[in-house]
Amino acid sequence: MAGASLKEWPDMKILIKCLFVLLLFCSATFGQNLVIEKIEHPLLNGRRICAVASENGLNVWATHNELVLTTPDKRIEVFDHKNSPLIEAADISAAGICDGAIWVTQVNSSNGYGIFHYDNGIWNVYKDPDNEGILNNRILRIHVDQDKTVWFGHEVHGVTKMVESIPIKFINEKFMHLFDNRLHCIFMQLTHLWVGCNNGVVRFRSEISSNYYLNVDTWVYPEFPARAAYSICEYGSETIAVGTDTGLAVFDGKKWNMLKKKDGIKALPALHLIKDGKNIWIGSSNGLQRWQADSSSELLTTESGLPGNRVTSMALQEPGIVLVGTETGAAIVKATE
Amino acid sequence: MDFKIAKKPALAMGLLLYLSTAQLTAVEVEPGKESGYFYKSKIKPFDSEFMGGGLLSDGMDIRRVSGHHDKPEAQIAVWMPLVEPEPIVKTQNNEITDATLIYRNTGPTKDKFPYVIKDKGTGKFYVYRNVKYHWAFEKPDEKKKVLAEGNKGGTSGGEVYSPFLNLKDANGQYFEDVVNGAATEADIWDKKMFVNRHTAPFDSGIAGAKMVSGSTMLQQVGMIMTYERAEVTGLSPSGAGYPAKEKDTADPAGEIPGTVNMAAAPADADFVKFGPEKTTKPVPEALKNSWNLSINIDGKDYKEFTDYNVVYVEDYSYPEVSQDFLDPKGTVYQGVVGKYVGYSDGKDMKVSYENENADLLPTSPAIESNFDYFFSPDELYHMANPFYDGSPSQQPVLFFYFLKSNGAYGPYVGVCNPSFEKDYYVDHHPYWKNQPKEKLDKFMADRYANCWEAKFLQPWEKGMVYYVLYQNGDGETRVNELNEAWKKSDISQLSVLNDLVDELSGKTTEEAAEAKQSIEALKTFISSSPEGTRQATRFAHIGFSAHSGRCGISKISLENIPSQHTEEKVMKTDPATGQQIEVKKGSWTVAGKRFILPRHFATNSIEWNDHCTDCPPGKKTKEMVNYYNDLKSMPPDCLMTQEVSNCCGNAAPAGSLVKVEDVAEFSKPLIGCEIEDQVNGTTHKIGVPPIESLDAGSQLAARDVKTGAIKNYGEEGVNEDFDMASKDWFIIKADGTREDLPKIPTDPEGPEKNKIPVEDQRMKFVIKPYDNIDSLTPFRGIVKTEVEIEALDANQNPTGNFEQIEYEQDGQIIANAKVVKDGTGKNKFELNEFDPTVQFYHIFRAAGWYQFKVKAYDRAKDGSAGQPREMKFNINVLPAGFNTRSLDER
Repeated sequence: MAGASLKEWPDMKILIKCLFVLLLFCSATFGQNLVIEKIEHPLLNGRRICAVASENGLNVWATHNELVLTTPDKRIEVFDHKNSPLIEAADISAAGICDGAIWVTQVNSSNGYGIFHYDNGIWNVYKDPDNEGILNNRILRIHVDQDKTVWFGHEVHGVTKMVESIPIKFINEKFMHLFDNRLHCIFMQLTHLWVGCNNGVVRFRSEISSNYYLNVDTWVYPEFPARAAYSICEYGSETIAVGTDTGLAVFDGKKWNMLKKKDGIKALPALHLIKDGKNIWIGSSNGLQRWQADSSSELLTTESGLPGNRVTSMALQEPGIVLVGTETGAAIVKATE
Repeated sequence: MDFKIAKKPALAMGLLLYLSTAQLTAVEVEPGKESGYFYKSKIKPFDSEFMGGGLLSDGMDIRRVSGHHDKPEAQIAVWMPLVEPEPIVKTQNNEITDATLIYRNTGPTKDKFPYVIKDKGTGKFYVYRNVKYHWAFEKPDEKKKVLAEGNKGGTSGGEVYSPFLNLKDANGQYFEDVVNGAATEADIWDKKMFVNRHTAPFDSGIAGAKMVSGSTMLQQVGMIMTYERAEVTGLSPSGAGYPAKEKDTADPAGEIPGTVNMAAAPADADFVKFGPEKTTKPVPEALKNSWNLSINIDGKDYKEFTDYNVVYVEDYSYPEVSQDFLDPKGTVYQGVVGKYVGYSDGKDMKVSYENENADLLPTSPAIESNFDYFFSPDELYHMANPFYDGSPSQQPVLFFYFLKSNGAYGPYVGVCNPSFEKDYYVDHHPYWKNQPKEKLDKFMADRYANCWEAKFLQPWEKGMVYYVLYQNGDGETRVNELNEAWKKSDISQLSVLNDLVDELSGKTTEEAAEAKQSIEALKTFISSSPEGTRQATRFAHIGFSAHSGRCGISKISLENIPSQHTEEKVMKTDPATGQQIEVKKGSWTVAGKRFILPRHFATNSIEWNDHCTDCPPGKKTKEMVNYYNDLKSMPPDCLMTQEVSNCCGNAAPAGSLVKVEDVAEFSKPLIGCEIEDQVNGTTHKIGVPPIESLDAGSQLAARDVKTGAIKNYGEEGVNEDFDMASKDWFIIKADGTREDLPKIPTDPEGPEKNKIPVEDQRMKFVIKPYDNIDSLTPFRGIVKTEVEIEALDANQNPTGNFEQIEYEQDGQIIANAKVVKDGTGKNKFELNEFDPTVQFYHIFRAAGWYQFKVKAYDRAKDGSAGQPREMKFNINVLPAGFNTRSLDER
């Protein structure tokens, strides 16, 4: 199915013109030299942003069942159930971009709808059991790793990765721990695939090609210092940080240490993490923080210019610039230092 | 590498196949030990779910081809031997070691002997023929149902031998083709591999839905390798033998470099036969206690094999759930608002089932039953946020969905996210999605303004709400922690409790003080309450679906305990074969008290049973699974679904609607009345508050003014009219203290005499009725309001004379003795345009007593006027000069 072109959408032309003329960027300069630019698009304004993704200037903003794409040349494309295979009665659970191709997943309370793929104007849908290798259709997270491998985190049972081939193939990895626990996040640290769930974290050492059962490690409370692991990012050299209810759990290869409010972490629970140089962007239910160890930083909220306090999704556009989705709108936050 | 496919295995070449004829029981292996052995085995299966990335199959479980889960014959495994004739050594990663060097035969004998193997240690050269792998698979117990033909065993390999094993051509399409008949077992991509149909389940149920380690019922698989070997002399190989290093893949791409020209084949007499006696080894320790598989080769039985393995064969049968439960439009279960299923008739919910896998251990944690249910999101409450410190990132009020504890189960709690609700009303609600933004925004704002107070929660229940909602963390995780803490009487299971307490300790507000007490009450409750049972989970999480607009209780898993689950083995006749087979019959019981019903939703709700399609006929489980999945994507209210599973997601669903009747003590409409005296500026707020607004343990009571008799209505509410004319109403708090409900002062000598209405003074009356059902809609659950004001005599008796009340109706001012707002007969969307509020200005032209009466009706199931509630109180209108005299007296 081809995407809507601007020619077929005369209203959109007017809209874009209006946007160029009337686009209001509510800029707020904050103590850390952070500038917040609220996105004043009618489909995003005041709406819950379920997912965001960014690559080379192509930004994807997802409301609960629509996609708004903004391209480097300032074009806007909108996809919904009328002009794409997206499902009206389902929530977009994740979005990702890899080499210009957009990946989207949707679920609702009882069904999963597999993987939606948009590339060069063509939509494809990949689902279990039609496409071998996809573990199941309830997918909650998409992670594009540094090797440009696209990973899909399923609500339960494990993960699936896309294998670049013609046609596209998929391979899945099952993890015992995820048969009884629900996935929150996935993150590839070199060859270690980290999976955060509602009951601890799982590490899959993908470089070990023998039986997966032997190369999977699991940490749960209290050895892992929290129950839920909401988000994961790189922390330092060969260390990772996991976002939890009360702080960042940092793994040094042997044990877990917790960085908490006393360490300057204010954005809690740490639902979303993005490493950006020496800083970590932390998105929480109560605001956004650009945190660095041994340095104080402010919590950005609606008072600072964020469209909402509850951060629902984040994506790094480029160093120092992060796309932020909230429960009531979207913004781009830039560090100007 | 060219690999010449050998001729099809000639099964008739004097090698009789297999078969154990004894009735075998599956291997009983201690959990953990069988998985420990599996990884050592050198016979391994691909099943249809192997990873196509080139890795070796790592699973010891055999599953059916994707898309063919209903076909027993689709449970196919390709078995590969990682064992080669001596002295060739192969690893479990399909690598060949340099114990031998392999050369490609380029001579005239290459068709029969494509490779020559050199023993690196001795320097001798060998060729091989008739390298055969004889496979045996445990047959199912005769008492089991025959699903399809399979587990026959047989032989792979052939006359022509290659030391390599082709894995790169492994692909899932082969499995699909075999199922569809487009390929046969003989079309396997490497003839050393053996294709078996594992048509009988070997599945006793495994822990949760985990992988197989932990299973105690596995299928035995054995393989004996036989071959003939001849030494060859006088060869001069050219180039390096393979592998060139310590070990390398046994599936190299392209041709191996080293070659040798073997001009003549060895004579038959030069071939040494390596039969089972030479190639088998004893049963491994890990399997010794239970191994009983044997194989027949050339008329002789063998109980020892070249290698051994055990696998778990997935059971795809579904429990057959009893028909009478599959009735989504039926009247199987009843309930009362705010109570639980079976409140009136004492009926718990019971699902009976039959399971054809008789091996399933009754104590297996894999045998599960889960249930969930859905209801309207009007079960919405609010409390002050004790953590609120004025910062913009916090909300001063917590909004949440809540189903109250009934002393055995509950409460059930979940945060309300306005943005999720907005998605539903803006995008999906059939009425609201078409309304102008301003109207929708007002509706949403009114939802939160009118939602119920949560004062009536017990302190520990409030503590639970604070814990679940703390910092907007993952509510389901918090509830799971609370359940763990409850079961173990151990508050250390609550991972964020200390942080929550620390944060509260720094606050000094009244809300924070109350929250601290609530948390202490929660700790005490978890640690030592004697209520209910600790064997079962008590709490559940409430979620909200943005596309269906329904709240749903997260799946509650029933515990496999005798009070909830019973099971026994019985024999029955298999209708397909007429044979007697052993099955398991059992039942799951959901205690009615677990199904806590909302206070603010019932069958007279405008959303009730909005969308429920017919259940498909018959009992085909796959269709039922699809039906219930579709139903749950847009569930009717109070749909309850229960799954009964045997293992690994083979869950048969059943469902029903629960008819919730609005017949509780608090079911009649409530009425709030504000009377503003526009001269003295006093506003009187008259009315009996809802139970939700009273502190836990409070009771409503009324004293007859004339007789002094007191009637205590208890904690559940008042099921009769509010007679505030002849009774004084008050609240009895849990500590025994009394709080009078406000009323209009009538005593001209009393302390509030200056607030008494006076004649010829303008007064504003605003009457706002609302019901427990649909209270968060514009019509607030009320379809009719009637107001009248009757003049009384000096003794406060009715005179039959009614005041003419002027009020606005349809843009005009009319006068009538009775104000009527009537929305009966309107459909559920039209009711969103109906406002039951009555508002008017009135001037009492004569001093004296008057009786104010308001009657409000809730909505019956058919949309007509339902249960009425009348509220009346007396007003003493004083003469016009009273105010002046009062001022003079000061």
